[in-house]
Amino acid sequence: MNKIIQINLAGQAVSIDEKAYQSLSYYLQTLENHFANTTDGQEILTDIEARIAELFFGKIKKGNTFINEKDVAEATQLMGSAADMDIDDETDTKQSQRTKSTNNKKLYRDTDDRVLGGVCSGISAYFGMDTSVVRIIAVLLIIFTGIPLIAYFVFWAILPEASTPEDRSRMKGGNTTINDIVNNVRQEATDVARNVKNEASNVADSIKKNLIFRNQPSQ
Amino acid sequence: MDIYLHNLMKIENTQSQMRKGVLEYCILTLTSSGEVYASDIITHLKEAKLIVVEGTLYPLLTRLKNAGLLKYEWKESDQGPPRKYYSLTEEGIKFNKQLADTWTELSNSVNQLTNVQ
Repeated sequence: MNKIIQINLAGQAVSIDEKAYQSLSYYLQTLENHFANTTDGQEILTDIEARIAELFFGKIKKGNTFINEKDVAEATQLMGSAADMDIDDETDTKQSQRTKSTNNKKLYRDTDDRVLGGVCSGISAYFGMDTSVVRIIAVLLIIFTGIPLIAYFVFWAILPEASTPEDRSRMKGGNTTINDIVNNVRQEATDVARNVKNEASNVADSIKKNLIFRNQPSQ
Repeated sequence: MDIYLHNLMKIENTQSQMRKGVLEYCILTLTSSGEVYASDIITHLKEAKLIVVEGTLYPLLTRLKNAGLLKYEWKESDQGPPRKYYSLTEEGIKFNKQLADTWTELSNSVNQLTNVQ
């Protein structure tokens, strides 16, 4: 079960399921971080959002009642990762990041598409195979070879669940480069630092105010 | 294997530099046909294998617009929200002509060089 929410994407009202919303906002956040220090960033971002909104509109027109994770994946793949949007000469870093991002692929359990623990769907996402094929192979292996059923539960226990959008993108070896994630973390760290700083200056302010207030009656 | 990979990456690097060099010229030329929509430009660029993903185009369009070579107009669309339609400015037309000359020169010289070899 999944909640459907309404969002405003480039001025368009879009019905989107919650998981899809999470991965979309994660994607847009990485772009926002990427363009944060550029002058044209906001405009580029608005253009991209408008284009995604249009792609979604096409889906809805075709009869989808809401936008799901597949639609978001399709759209973000079409738009490309933040690294693809670099126009200045950072090609070498871009290349190495892309290599890293594919190496960064991890085996997870895909609990959104599961029969038992989501082991087979996780494996199929990792190898880019059809989930049903992996399931059939798994069942055949268990029936016809010596591999006991317990092996499945061992996988279930060992493999982490893909719960965050980062996990999900890593599970598919998707278009989030390592740089995007690093940028995201860096952004969060500066946000935290800024908050701490603001909080500290607030406290300092109120201390100053109190001191002045206390000093006043004695004058 | 490492050396092989290293060379491969260098080739990709040079190739992408080459593509980037002509990308602006191609965008301006595609826009010169009148009012065009970003995804139409993208379709052509993709066919020509100059770009892979749509995202590459948007920063370039913004940059060319801010440089005064492109302008855009909002137009209603039957496929959803209003769209930005790009066209060349006066300056953009001049700029594109100069680039066309340079490109002809450049491709002639490169062809000559490679034919001599």
